[in-house]
Amino acid sequence: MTRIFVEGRDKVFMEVYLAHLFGRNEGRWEVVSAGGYTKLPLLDLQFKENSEAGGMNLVVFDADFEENGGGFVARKSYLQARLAELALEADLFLFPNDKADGDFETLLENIVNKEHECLLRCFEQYERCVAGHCDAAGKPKYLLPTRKAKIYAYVESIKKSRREAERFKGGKEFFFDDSRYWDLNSSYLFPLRSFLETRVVG
Amino acid sequence: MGFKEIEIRNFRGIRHLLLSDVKRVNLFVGRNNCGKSSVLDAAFLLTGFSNPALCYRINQFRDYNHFAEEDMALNFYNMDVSVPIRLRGKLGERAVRELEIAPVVEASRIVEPAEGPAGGLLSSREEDGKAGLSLMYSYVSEDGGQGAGGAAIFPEDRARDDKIEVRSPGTFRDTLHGVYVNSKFAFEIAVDDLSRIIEEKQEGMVVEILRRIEPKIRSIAVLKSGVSVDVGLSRLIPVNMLGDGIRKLLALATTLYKCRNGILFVDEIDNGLHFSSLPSLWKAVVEMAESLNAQVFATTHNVESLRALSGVLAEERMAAYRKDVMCYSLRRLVTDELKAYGYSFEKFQYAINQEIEIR
Repeated sequence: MTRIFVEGRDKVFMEVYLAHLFGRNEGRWEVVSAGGYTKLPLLDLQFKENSEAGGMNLVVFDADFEENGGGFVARKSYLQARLAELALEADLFLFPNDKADGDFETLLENIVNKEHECLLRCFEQYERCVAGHCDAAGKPKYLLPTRKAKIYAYVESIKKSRREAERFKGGKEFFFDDSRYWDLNSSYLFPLRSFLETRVVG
Repeated sequence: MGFKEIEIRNFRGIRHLLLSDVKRVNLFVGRNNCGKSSVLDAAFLLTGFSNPALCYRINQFRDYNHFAEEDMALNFYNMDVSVPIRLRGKLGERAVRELEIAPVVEASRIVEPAEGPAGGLLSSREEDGKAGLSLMYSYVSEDGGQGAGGAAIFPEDRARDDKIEVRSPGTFRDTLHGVYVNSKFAFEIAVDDLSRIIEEKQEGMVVEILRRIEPKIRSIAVLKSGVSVDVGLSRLIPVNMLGDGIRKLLALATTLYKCRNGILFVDEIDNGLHFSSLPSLWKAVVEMAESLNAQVFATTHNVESLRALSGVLAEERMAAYRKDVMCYSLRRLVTDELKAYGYSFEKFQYAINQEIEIR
């Protein structure tokens, strides 16, 4: 079995994407919410158990940005060092595409339905507008919305049936399996697809 | 306290298992038929390693009351009696006990010279020998003293498979004792044990545990009609009237009290308990085990129970008990070896909080 460790907020996406690529699970994979890239020491037993059962471990975390202490090179190096230190066997993939800085939200921004991509531009205009307001000292007067808020706003803005609206309430459901929202065949996902295809056992 | 390490070889579905960091309270989880109950059974055999009757008793827990010759193989890995069952337990820095169980055929039998070969045929194999199990045990005590002995168990009569003959010629008197509670008997309150608790003026401890589920309980008594409690009414009422949760907790507390300085084995510890009572169960088990210097081995496959244990240990006032608890996730490896992944409090709590499946 392939055990895929994700940071947490991306768990549903990963499950949907795996089903999109490989069909029914049938015990071939398991997605585990690690709770963050610093939590590997608390999860060593899950890695070891799967390795010793003949399975493969994958770590799919955010590369993050230099500004928040990450970045593709730094984060990859950090995680490789932690895995070696804990004697854990795992292959790494860092969002968004295993080469650039970024995170899960970066990936989502790049796989939105092209028809609704304008919503992201609208949000960016709003961000610029918010950033333009300064206090008397010339410093930003307001907090900028988070990047998660951008994704939330994108999903929220697309018209929904009553049932879909109910599912979306509180941001619990992002409709990853609905092509009106997301393009799971986007070329932006090729690196992730290629990573998974060679590691999820049939 | 009890065992610090246990090793099991060739016992039922377990080719090999090493439990290397045994704590005061040990909870086993794993898929159905992975060997959870067998681990308890093996540890129980090792606890009473000079008592051959336990080989029969552990099968009775599974509602199997037969001990005929063909049943001898049941407790052997792959039912292959040519490879003995070997159990080893470390009890301290030096103290170790070992038990080897193998088939034995009683050689002596009466041969009547007047009996001729049946039907004029002569077979080289005359199958009247009585087959049973031999137990060879040895130990090293903490002070370095050593000892060994042997015992055996046979079906009493070839015609009957529900009576056994135990041969235990040794004079070894074991200081380690254990009590095994099968999930089937989880609601049976040992009245004698409860009477002893009351005689020893320790009923306050039991009442305190029961009050966690039913705060109205003021006292407990053993009457002719059975165990009764005072819930502030004009007369005592039978404990049976208070529901399964109270009865189960009382049964467990009473049994645990009996295990002072010993070991309690409980299969499916939370069987029959509503999830709201599970924190009370775990508080009682963890606190009593510590205060009675008892060791507990239990199994469960109830995720609510795991959440309850995690929640109880997360309480600040329970912080001192965290080091005493280990949850073992049993997994079968490709080599058919059974492996126990021991979750200490921090990892256990994290897995539960992240909803990671460890059962």
